[in-house]
Parts: sequence; C-alpha cells; structure tokens
Amino acid sequence: MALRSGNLGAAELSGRISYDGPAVKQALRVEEKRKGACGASVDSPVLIADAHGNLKNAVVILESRKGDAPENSESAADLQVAPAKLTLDQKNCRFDPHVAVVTSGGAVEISNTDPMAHDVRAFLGSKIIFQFEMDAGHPVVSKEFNEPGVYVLRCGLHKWMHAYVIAVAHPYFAVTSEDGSFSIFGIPEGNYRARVWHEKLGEVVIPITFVGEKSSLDYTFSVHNNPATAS
Amino acid sequence: MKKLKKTIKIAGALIFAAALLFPAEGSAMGRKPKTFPIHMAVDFGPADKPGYSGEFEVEKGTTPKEAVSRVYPVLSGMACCSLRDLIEIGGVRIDPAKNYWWVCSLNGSRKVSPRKTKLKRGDRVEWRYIEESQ
Repeated sequence: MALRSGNLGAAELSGRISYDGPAVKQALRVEEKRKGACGASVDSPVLIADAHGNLKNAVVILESRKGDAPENSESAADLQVAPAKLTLDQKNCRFDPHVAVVTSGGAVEISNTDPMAHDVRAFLGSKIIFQFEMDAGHPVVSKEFNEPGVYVLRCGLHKWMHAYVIAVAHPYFAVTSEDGSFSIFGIPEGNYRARVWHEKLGEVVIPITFVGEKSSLDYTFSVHNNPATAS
Repeated sequence: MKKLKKTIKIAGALIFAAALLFPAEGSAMGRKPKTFPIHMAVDFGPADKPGYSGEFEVEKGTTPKEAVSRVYPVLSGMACCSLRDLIEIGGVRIDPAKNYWWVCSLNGSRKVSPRKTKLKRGDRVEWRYIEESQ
C-alpha cells in the first residue's frame, strides 16, 4: 500500500507489473502430521500471476538516481509520517499478507487466527532477528523492523509458511495488487529510478522520468530471463 | 650431608622427568582417550560442492556438531533457537529466504540434537543441505 507523505511532494508514480510466463498455480503438499489442521495442500504464494500476466506481490521502491533515498526527501520520521503499522496474520497455515513493506522503525503486529500454534521466526539474511511461539488465540505481538532490508518470516512448525517484510527508510514504495497495479503518491521533485523486486523473479532497476507531476511505470518480467519459472 | 641432599634432589628431578616422558601404561598420563569409529556423510545438495563420506575415530562424548567440525570448518549462530545452532558448514550457509538449512540425522533418524546427543561406536551421522518446504 502506498503512503501519502502529505507534505513535500505532489508527484505520483503509478503503473503495472506483469510477467510473460505461464500462469502459475502451485499446490504445496502438506506433511502428514499437519494435514488435519492445514488441509492436504496449500496454494503456493510465491508466484501469483493471472491469465493476463498481471503480477501480484511485486514491490516498487523509489530511489534517487544514485541509489539512495529519493532526492530532496526526508526520512519518514522527519516527514512526520507515522511509520505504517502493518498487521500480519497467520491464517489457514499461511501468512497474510505474503509480501509487505514498512518504513524502517515501523511496527508489524503479528496475529494468529489459526486454530493451532505457529512458531514465528524473522531472518535478515542468515541472521535470525526474533523468534517466538504463538498458540491459537495468542495476543497480538508487535515487532519493529528497524534496519532497512528484506526480512523473511517463517513458521518453524509449518515449513512452507513464509512471508516477506521489506523495511525501507522512506515512504515511497508500493506492493502490487491482484491486477499488478500500484501507485506511489507525494513524491518530491527530483530524478529517480524504481527498484522493482519479486521474490522469485528477481530485481530490476528502471530510470523514471516525470512529465509534469505524473509518471507511469509498466514493467514485464520475462520468462526468458527466468528459465526456472518456465515450467 | 649437603652433598647427599643435593644428590637426592637431582635423582628426584630425573625420575619425575622420566615419568613425564615415558608414562607407565595404566597411569593417568599413560591412558589414551577412548575413541571409536563413526561414519560421517556431508551432502551439500544444490550448493554444488563435492560432499564427504568417510569413517573416522572420535572420542567419547563427541556430538554430531563436533564430529562434522573435524571434516569442515563450521559456523555457529542463531538459526532457530540457540547461538550454538549450526549455520554454516564448509562455507555453505543456511538460506532462510530459499528455505535451505543444514539438517542432521543420526542412523537415519532426524530425532537427534546435534549439540547434545553423544555419539556411540558405529553411529552414522549425516548432514544434508536441503530445502525444508514440506
């Protein structure tokens, strides 16, 4: 979800991220001892693209042309934009949402609405940041993601369960929705590039040019650059 | 008398030195630590590195984690629950994003504590780098 800075900039970037490979629907087999609670299989959230190739859960992050925070921007704290508070639920043996972005220092409220326990672990690279168990009905646990980076969250009990929380030092980012679309508002004037990230398809950096106060970005991840996804 | 005392001192020192250099069998200094053979296998999976399979002697009280450190350099860190978890073997590190972990089994069973289980004669220890998606 894009944040509105409400302060400095008036520019807007919107667009659509897509994938030209085959529509993918993969069912992950659930190990026998977990089937009663989780069902026989769980849909994989890794690569979700509809019949038109619209790609869900791609992340668009604005950067200056030099690769750091947008020019003339200030940190989320200086903009007096409260870091987004995000809710990450564990439901049907999956994390929801599967991909989320927060401003660094923002809190993520982790809940468990499943009827069984989960064991939440967050990693930054190979380093574990936190780990705790949540029984069914456990009170919400709030965790801050202070250091910018890509965090992987996993359940120690249900091996397929994972999610990404990306912490960014500024509020100019968005996650694509089901139809691959995204919007980023309140962008300060300047020269930018967009970093487009997907957990399976990789990452690209694309220069952005504003015409007036609007710019659009349509990008297609190609199966030719990702042969592992062609099957 | 002084000469006698000096002689006794020198003799004592010589006997002590001899005992250090040539300990009697059965003495505390002469006793070799008990060792026994185990079999170790290390499979690097998709990390594309040749694995290891071989037998060697370990001392009583050796754990699976200690045993593999005899073959490859290992790195400990918090992968799950303790700073003593094993996060890297032979330069291949766990990858939480891709769900790749170092998994230990003993005599075919994963019900083993790599840090606490004490190995016995003939044990087969296997460390595999695998994706734990299911």
